[in-house]
Amino acid sequence: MAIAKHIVEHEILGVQDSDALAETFAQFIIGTKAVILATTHSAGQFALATDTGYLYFDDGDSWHQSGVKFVDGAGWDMGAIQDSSPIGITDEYISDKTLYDVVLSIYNNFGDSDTPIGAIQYNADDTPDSLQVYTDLGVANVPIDIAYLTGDYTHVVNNTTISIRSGNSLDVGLNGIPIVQEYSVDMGAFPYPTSIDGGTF
Amino acid sequence: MATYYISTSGNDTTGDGSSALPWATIAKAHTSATSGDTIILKSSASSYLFTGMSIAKTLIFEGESTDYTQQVISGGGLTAQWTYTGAYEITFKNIKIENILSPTSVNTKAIFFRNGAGPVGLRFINSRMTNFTIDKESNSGGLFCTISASSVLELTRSVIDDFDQYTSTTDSALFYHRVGALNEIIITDSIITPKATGTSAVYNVFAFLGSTLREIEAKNLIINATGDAIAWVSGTFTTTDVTYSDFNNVTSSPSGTGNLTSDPLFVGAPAGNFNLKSSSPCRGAGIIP
Repeated sequence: MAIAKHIVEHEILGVQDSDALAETFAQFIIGTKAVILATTHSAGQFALATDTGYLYFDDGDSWHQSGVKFVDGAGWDMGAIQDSSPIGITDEYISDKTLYDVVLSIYNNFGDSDTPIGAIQYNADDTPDSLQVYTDLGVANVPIDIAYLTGDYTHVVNNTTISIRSGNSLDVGLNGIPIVQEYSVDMGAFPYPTSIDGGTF
Repeated sequence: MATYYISTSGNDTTGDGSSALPWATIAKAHTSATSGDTIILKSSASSYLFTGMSIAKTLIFEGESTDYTQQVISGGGLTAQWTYTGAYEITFKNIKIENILSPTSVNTKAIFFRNGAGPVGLRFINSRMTNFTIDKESNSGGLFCTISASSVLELTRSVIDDFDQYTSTTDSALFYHRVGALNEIIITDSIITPKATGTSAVYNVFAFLGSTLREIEAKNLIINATGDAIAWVSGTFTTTDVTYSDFNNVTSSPSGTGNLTSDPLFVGAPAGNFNLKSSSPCRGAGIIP
């Protein structure tokens, strides 16, 4: 009935739309954000804010704003199915976007304020910066700056490059022995060579 | 930035500074190079000569071999000084420098000296500065002295040892900095050990007079005074971050996480053997630098 009423008002009676009026197609509203938020609540209403580009849903008590803006369809394919130049956000992908403060994980409970297990974050507050994963034991650092070096992998600890396999640094002391040996460090410039315990005879 | 070569068998006249036709002297290399260049000292059983020079460029002197004993610069027991003429930095890498006497002329008594605007820098990387004598006069002198210049001193995996002073002076210092805006010292995995003599023992490691900012960061440093004690500093540091270091017989040594005041138990320090004995308290007591 609302659709029929609209047709009568706009095509038969010549009612002019104005910026102050919100057009209503059944339960879909197009108008500014302020107009939308001022509209009487009715569960099931949807709205598109022409000034902010956000979509809104009315649960009968309050409006809920979508997290995604409505994207101008310039350059899109005709028809309902978009199968070329997938730039933007759809229900299957996000592309050509920069994500800030985003948690990548599966929520145990939607809307839970606790950090979800499996969340990944880049922590620039640490020195040096760190990549962290949130587990059930808390936040765990993920080694970064890992490089492949002739049959071995190395990583950087406190600006010192260390072999992951041996725990030895590439830098050596004045006696030619690595400054770091099996992640242990001696004071001074002449590291004591790591001993291998051959047991007793 | 270019790389030039010198060799004890090179020739300053016919050489061109290439690896195939190296020059012979440090002075020739300094004259021919431009700031930022690297001078490679080819390995040799003979020594390069450390003579007086006015530093007018930022240069890196690097030994061809990672074994610092293969590239030796010797003062021959004579008096010599490198005088900075401006804001320049000198780096020694994989080099042993030995047997130098600091000048005794008034107002200029350090081996590496700057009186004027800076900043200036002196860096030792995988190197050893040994067997030298310093003097002190009017709050100057030492191994590295700056007056009115900001400076940076860096020791990385290096040793400064077997040094003393001409006369008994109770405020002499190895490193003297006077009236500079910022004096920054960074020491990692290094050893400082003076000669074990009596009245000729150098009194302080560092001395400051009138400098605005005096910052030090040190890790895995060993200072070992086997004879008379050496004091940590005359004056004060504005920022001290010294950790995992050992100060044996060092007066007023800095406190910090992991610091020790024990005999490091070198295998044979008087003979220049600074390897640690198996029972050394310094084993495993450092931190990844």
